[in-house]
Amino acid sequence: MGSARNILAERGPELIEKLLQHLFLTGVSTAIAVIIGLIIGVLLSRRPRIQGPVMAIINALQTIPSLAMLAILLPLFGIGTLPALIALILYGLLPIVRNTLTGIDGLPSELLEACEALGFTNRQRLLQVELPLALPTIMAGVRTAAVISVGVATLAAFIGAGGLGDFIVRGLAVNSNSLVLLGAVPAAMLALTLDRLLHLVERRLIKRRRSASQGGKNSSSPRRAAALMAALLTLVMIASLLTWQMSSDPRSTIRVASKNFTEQYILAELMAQMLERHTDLVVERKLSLGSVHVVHNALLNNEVDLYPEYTGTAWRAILGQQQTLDSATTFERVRQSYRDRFALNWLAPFGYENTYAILVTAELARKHSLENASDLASISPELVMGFPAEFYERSDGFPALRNAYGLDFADTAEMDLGLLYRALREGRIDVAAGNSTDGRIAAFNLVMLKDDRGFFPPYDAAMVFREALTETHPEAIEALRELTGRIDTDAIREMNRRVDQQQQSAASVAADFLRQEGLLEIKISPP
Amino acid sequence: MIKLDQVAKSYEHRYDALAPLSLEIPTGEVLVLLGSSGSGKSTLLKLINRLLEPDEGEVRLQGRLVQDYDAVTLRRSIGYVFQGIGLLPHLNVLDNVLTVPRLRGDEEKPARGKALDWLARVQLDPDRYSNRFPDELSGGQKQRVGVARALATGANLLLMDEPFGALDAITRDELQSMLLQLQQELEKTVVFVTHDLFEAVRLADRIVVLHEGRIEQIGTAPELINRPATSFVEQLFSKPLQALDELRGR
Repeated sequence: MGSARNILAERGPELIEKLLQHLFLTGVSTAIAVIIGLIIGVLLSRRPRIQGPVMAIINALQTIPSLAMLAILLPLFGIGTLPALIALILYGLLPIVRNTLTGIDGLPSELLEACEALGFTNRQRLLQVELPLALPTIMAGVRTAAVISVGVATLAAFIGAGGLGDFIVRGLAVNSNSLVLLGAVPAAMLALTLDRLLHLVERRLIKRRRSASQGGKNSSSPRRAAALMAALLTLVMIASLLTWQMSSDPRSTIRVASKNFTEQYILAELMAQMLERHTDLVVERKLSLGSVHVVHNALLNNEVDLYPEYTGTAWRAILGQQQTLDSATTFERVRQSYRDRFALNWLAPFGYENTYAILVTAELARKHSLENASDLASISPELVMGFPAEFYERSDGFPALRNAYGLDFADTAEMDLGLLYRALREGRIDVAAGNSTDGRIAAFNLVMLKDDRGFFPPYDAAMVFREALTETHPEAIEALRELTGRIDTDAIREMNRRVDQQQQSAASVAADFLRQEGLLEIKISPP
Repeated sequence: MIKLDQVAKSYEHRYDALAPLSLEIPTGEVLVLLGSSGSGKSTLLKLINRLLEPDEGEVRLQGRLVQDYDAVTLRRSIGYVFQGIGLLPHLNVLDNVLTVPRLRGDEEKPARGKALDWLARVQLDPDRYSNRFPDELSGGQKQRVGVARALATGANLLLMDEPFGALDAITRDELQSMLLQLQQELEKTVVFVTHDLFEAVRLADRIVVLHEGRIEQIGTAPELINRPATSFVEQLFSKPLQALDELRGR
């Protein structure tokens, strides 16, 4: 795998950054979960009557799927590190609370009675007898919590908290196995390493008792346990420091966001690189956010400053409009509503449209002489349609499409956008709702059916930004204005193709485009 | 001196209740509470260091109500020896003996020196045994450590709750001898709970025979044997004596 080496060379520094972010998320959340979990566990061991209800709540927390948990926390805490940490802490609680409780409750009652008779206070009994004796059980819980945390932290990417999950989410989006592995393999290794290290700490701690018995002469074991613990803590501290430093550049920051598919990464890179080239702003990339609603809320909460969006998506999904108007009118109405309702603004479109494409294989099109989407109605009961999960929920999505064209498919499948085209080519689905600008339409010899009933609104790609930027950083808006009207359908398809098929990074594809267009050299007139 | 005055204790769901009873234990006496399980002998013991509080009546120590002492301070000033798991499994022998002095915050160095002495006094070589853990000791050795720990409190009063009950006959005999020898030198006040008649006879200055929460008789061993106050006491002593006689072939 020569490409593995290439990827490592190209992504080395980024890998280290993501690894540190991951370590930070895992370390901090596990540490806090240990503190809270110990306290809850000890309290429960003192109050048998509330054990049932409290454990039920903590168990229930554990059964919430990770993505659902993030979705629940989103409206409360927004995107970024905080909600990710909270989710990780909640997941870490169960093993720690349960093991603390089991460890303490499992101690023989005669022993506790003996402590009372000897004149232990409750506190002394807890600290000198119960916790030390429960330690092996508690440490097993801590190890479980740490490993769970490493795993769940990969999902933090969906809400912009960074970490190794960024590679996985992006790899899935751009259909790159090596990128997925770049996230997954280090995450797995991190989990194993943490488990191993904590196991060593545990053994040292237990050995310490034995060696303390050797008249305190042999103190190397406790010293090594302390050193191990210190090493672990230092690692987490360094990770926190670096993560903090990365986000605390004294210069002003501008936060560019994107949704999690190839074209969005490319557009976001184009925007970010223009800003880096032509302004003094530090650009923070918050790529791979889960859906239009996630990014929209992030904009409203002042967690990101701008991102690329499509007029039709805003028209239907955010503004809830049902009519289909022409391209220019849609843009104007969307822009006006965004300014009035959200204090958000739109720059003029990039110059191309990315509509939903109803795709079939060339073979199927020939067999049934399909040309228009309405041609599907009669044969749909024999077909299976696939689409990205978001497409089902949107008001411009599947249920409305089905009604508009009178479709009645044998079955439907929700799948990741990156897998959709391959599934269609391999015949696992017959019809797909993809993006009209995707390079794989041509590469896989797929046929795009015409939206002959005008179901889809126009989807012109354009930049959405917080209106406040025009006051705080007008130079940013001026630099970005250079991108408007610059990209036609062929150009975006070519860029998508290079990322999806040739496994080039969105960043390098975007840089090439800016160079070819001479956008790196131009002078931006001061606002 | 310990004085129990019309003390009663009952439980909702348990059998080892105590009817109102009175008892005086002079300083320096070995008093054995003899009875079968459920007779209330352990209950009586626990009223002295406030592991249990009486429903009625009063318990006085050196003339003061035990309730006037702080419970924790009171317990740290009384030596207690248990039958079962008395030693802390995660501490070695020396640390176990030092438990109470450390809880009290005694100065470490002198306490340590004394603890080593006590180990020697209960016939455990400190060099060999202080670093061992409870699970590396025999039953008899564990009880020796338990006695050393009770003595290391510096207490003048020892409460012993069937300390030798789980030991084999030979080991029990050794420990009884050791206790008698120590008692000759130290002259502590000892309240000793047992269900073993021979142990009671061997160790006691006076024996309290308890049955179903009541005192059947208080007296020295010869008094109980020769002048039993109740048929229960008479039965208690006559049966083993008969058995012995039968063995002798009479």
